[in-house]
Amino acid sequence: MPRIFRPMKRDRDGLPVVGIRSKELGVRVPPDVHADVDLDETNSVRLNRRGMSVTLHRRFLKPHLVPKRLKQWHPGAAGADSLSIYRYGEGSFEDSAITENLALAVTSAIHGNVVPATLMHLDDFLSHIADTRDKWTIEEPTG
Amino acid sequence: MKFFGRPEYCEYIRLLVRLHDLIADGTDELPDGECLRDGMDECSEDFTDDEVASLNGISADFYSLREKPTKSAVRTGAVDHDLRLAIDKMRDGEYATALELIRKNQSTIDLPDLCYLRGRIFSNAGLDDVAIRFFDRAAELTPENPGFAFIALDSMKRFDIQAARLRAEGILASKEPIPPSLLLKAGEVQFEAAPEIGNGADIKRTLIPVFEKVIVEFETAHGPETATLLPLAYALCGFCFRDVAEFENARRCFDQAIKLAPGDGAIRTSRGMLLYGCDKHQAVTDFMKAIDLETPIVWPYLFLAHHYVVVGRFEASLDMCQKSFRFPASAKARANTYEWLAICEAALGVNPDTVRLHFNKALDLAPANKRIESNRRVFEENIGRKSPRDIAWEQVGDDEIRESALVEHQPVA
Repeated sequence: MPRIFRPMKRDRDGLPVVGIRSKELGVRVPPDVHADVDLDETNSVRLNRRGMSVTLHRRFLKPHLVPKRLKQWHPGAAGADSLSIYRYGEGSFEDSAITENLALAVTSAIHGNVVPATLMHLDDFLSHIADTRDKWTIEEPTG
Repeated sequence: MKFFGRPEYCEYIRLLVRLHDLIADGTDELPDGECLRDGMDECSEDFTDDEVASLNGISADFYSLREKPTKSAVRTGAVDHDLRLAIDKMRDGEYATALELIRKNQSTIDLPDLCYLRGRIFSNAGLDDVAIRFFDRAAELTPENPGFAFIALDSMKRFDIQAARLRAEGILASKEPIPPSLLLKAGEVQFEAAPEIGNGADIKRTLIPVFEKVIVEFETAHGPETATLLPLAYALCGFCFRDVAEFENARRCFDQAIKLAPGDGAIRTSRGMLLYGCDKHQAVTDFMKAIDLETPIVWPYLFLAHHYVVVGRFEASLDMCQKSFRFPASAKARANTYEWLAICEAALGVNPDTVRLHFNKALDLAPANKRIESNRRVFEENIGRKSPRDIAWEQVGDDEIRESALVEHQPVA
């Protein structure tokens, strides 16, 4: 199971907010202009390596994704403070299974997408992503 | 050109600086900020780790726009070396490296100078919409230095002429004493915006006293800027006189500008264009000098091509026509060039197919031009003539070519 990082909106319980909007645990779906996945005519997610964006390490996050409150450690941090940086998994950053139903599709040395492991309906894909919610832990510099 | 050659990278910087504006206003967590950040996701999907590191540094640089000045650390020889290297890197187009070097030594640089340096790098990278924020901050921190406000307005002019025009209007209307350099820049901006505002002649009439005041102030002060800016002030004043049809005053101003800056080919070209048709000897001399000075504009070549074709120096005209193709020109100007090229070739006995090709190119560019059509007909009727140099061509008059060129020509300041 690869180790991945993603900045997401933080819910009251400290875990990521589940949803289909930007910076939530899920993917934006068509007709959203910023949709993260493509759907076929049956509303199944196309297996084209698109999905929920993640990165190799928090130091590779672009400035607009790092909460401003972390400026002391990340001098360029310009992200919303409602975000937290979450980590999931422990393994190496390569194409591999995240859960039985989800996989990591690496798109560059530092970026990848969480994608369906097999062809599945959008609702199932979202549900499988939501099921990972309590496995995400905040990993931010402190002290 | 590391990173800055990539449009997505530059687009990200443009969005990032706008995000920093919202952060400064405390509105970045509102929907506009979220929308902006979504746009930043979009254009940055496949950035490399080096690009991300560079952008994080630039984002940190943007925070310096809101910092208060503090006492700078002592500058060592190694720092001076880095700063010189940063300037060299900027000149070589290595903007990301130049920014890194400045960042590395930022604690030793006074904040206004730091803002100025960063502004210059972004401006050189073609991101004047980013640079302006640094120049404005430098000007805000040192109101006693008009150079920063001058550069800020110049930078703004390059990416948003309307915004620059509004700022220039404010400067020109100010009751406060304005340094002549800034007044000159404001006048220049108004001059350049005049064709877009309409009633340009009226605006230029109002600018004449502005430039005259600037000239008087420069001539009496003899400050360090005088050598570079006084010729520009005279030239701009000359353009205004020219455009309100005050010929003698325009000539006086151009004469003075050339006296002060004899190596400025753009001003020589402007005087040549003013004089073409009334003092042709001086006009031709000015164009020849402008060409000697390697002035990167098309007009000296076109006027000389016209002059030579009219007086029957076809080899010389042909040479000017061919050289003129190295520079950008309007379709109308280019049509004239192809016509003169064809006339010269016909007169010199060049293969009729080549002559015909050039007449046709001229007509493609100016299909409604009856003179070119007529000259093409004259050419077809005279193919095989024993003395082609004597063909009676229909020529463009000096005044016509001059008036037509003046409409298109804007000063190169």
